[in-house]
Amino acid sequence: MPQLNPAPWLSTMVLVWLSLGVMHQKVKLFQNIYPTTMCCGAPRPPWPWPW
Amino acid sequence: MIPNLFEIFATPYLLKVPLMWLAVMAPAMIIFSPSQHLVTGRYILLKKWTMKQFIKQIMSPLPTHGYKWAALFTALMITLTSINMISLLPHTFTPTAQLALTMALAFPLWLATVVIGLLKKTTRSLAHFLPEGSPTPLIPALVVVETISLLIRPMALGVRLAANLTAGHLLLQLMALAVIHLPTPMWPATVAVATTLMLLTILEVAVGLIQAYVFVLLLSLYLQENI
Repeated sequence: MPQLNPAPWLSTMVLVWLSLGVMHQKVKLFQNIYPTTMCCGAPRPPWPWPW
Repeated sequence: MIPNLFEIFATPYLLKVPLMWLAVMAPAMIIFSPSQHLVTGRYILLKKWTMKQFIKQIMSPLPTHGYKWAALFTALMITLTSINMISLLPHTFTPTAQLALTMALAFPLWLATVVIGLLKKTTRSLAHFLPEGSPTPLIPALVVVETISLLIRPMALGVRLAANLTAGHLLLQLMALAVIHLPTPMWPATVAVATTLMLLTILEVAVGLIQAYVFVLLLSLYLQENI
């Protein structure tokens, strides 16, 4: 039966960069949606608060 | 029969699928998932604040045109920190203890900083091979030493992270085995070892965070030299 993972080190290398790429895109998306502000962020919405 | 302590670092398999794949992809799947809320809340505020503090700390020594690396460094820090923290849970696997993972990150990123330096500021990059104020008779030897120092950087970067994680987890495994196998009449020794085990776990949390930070910090320093 052929091995699913013939080169474990190669799959690890590919996967870690894939993981890093996904995380990179998520960080960029997060920064676009919620730009970092100097103070406390957007004001609270009117009642009822979701938290 | 002497147990093989390094078995904990072997990749577990489930139905011939290596679980290393899940362990490496887990942080990217869990953290920073898209939210349905556009209005900031405490959790998003905490993430924003953490990211801002980290980016300010790492990127302030860099010039403005180096800021495009901020997202990559943040992503790298979050990935490494979360992998290290997840690996501290019982019965989990430590992906960052594998040289394949750490070298896969260290070598290309170091190479990128060197290539950027050689392409954009060739003279200044090559000037790093000779520190300022070196005595003239020592110049040939110093150039050789600095070249070796440069070439050893990716190895040091990768091996530092892997070795620290491996050593810590191995120590935890040893202490846990001691707690399990010590005989009942030696209960004071068991209590002492169990206390040490708890303190060591706290240390391992710190080591995981610090080693991830050191990895990214050193990369930013290498970038600072070359950008």
